Amino acid sequence: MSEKCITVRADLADLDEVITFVEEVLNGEGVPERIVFDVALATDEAVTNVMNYAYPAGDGSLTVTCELRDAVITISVRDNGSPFNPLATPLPDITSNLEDRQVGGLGVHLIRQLMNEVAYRRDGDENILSMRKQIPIAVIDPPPLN
Amino acid sequence: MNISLSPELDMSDLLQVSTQTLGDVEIVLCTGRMDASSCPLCEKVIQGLIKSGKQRIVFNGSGLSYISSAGLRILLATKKDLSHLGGDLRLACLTPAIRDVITMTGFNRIFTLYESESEAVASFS
Repeated sequence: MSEKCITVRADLADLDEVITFVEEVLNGEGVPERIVFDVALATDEAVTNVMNYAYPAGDGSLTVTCELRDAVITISVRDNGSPFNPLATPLPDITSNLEDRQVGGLGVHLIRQLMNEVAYRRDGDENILSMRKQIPIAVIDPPPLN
Repeated sequence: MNISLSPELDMSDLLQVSTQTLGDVEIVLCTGRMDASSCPLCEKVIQGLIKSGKQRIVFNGSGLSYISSAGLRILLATKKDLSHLGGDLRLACLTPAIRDVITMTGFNRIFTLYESESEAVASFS
């Protein structure tokens, strides 16, 4: 497949639109349900970060690109907000008990767990977060006939 | 009680929250995506239950498409609130994919997961 992309406002009201886009693209390629779940959730976490924090001064947009090539799914999330590397945030302590437990950093932790590779780069005035997920060859379903 | 964010839309992934009372246990059933945009709805319903004096809550996640860290934050905050009141939040009927998310985030150290709603309800007695 070629790359497919969607641009939305950096507003949580548009989060569903992004996730529906990613799910529809991957489902259309016959990607197994469980892989779609992992990629959709990782995309949710990345996009939510941008929507919440990238544009503190006002409105902005973000673009999500979805590509499937050689059984590797690549999701890129681009925004023109303040320079921010989410991968540089401290790792959460996921072993603490109820009273001490904090949830800051959990989104990035989930992205790292759900995807095989995650990379951040600043390119000009863009933040680009790229996430890759390998599909085990044995579980690729054929695309629907219609 | 049955509330949805946009009742006029027929989208299966839109978060819907309903509640049911079984004795002194409240069941909160969530279906759809529990993400940063939709989870305030679930939080509002749960906070309403707590304000009305409910202290034993079962979260039934059987219909969840997924839960993001924003949704997990609400489960954690609810568990803390109820714990201070002498109550508890217990999780039931999670799909295998969501169970994995619970494990990845270490929430399995904090929450006991129940296979069925009835097991979770019975655990309070």
